[in-house]
Amino acid sequence: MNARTDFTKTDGVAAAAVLASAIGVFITGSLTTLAEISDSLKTALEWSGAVGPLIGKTGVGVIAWLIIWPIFHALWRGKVVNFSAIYIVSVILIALGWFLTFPPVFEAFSG
Amino acid sequence: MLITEPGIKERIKRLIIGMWTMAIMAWLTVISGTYIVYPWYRAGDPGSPRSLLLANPDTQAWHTFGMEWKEHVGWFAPILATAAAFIVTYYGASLAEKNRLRKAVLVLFTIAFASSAVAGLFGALLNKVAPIQ
Repeated sequence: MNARTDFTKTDGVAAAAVLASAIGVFITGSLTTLAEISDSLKTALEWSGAVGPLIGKTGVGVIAWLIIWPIFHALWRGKVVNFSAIYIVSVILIALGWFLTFPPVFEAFSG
Repeated sequence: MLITEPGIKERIKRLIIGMWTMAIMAWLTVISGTYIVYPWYRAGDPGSPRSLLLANPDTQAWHTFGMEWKEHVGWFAPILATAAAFIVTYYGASLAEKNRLRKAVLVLFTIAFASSAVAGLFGALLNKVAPIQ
């Protein structure tokens, strides 16, 4: 590995990884709360009777993350991006994801 | 000079191995927890841990708060740890000069650790209150 060459890498790849993971977390958190609001969504997320809707909530979050990440990676690789802005948005999405999985929050929407 | 290029390269190798080990362990933990242990926990029979916890008003919160939070937030750990490990692998020694990226990796990994701490703590406590047998 030539460490000198590495210093020329732009922040695009890191921005893609950070934002994609934040979106995955946010989607999982959103589905946790939305499943309490909508019984039909909860049923749709129940891909396995043994595991219940947890499998769908986390499955959709992980699948979305795995789809979005390579797209952002391809778009931003080698590009100069506004990493600070992307990072702030990502931290907000992660915080919202945490917030939406907090039981007093999603139980407030429980029917 | 305390930090040399060979020193950074040597430590980066250790860091990459350590971070991927943590990320893989986090994936194995949430996958086995969700698909192997959780079905036993939430089985419909009256003797399952979930049924026992919900049957007693004094222990209901262990499920409605503890288990409900841990089963969701635990999944954040592998996602964020994988992103952090990937960034360290991709940028390698250049992270030494990229302060913003280094701080971002630190934050991602800290949140991943906090997520796994919530899941691990409630998992251990729930196993004391209502062990899976």
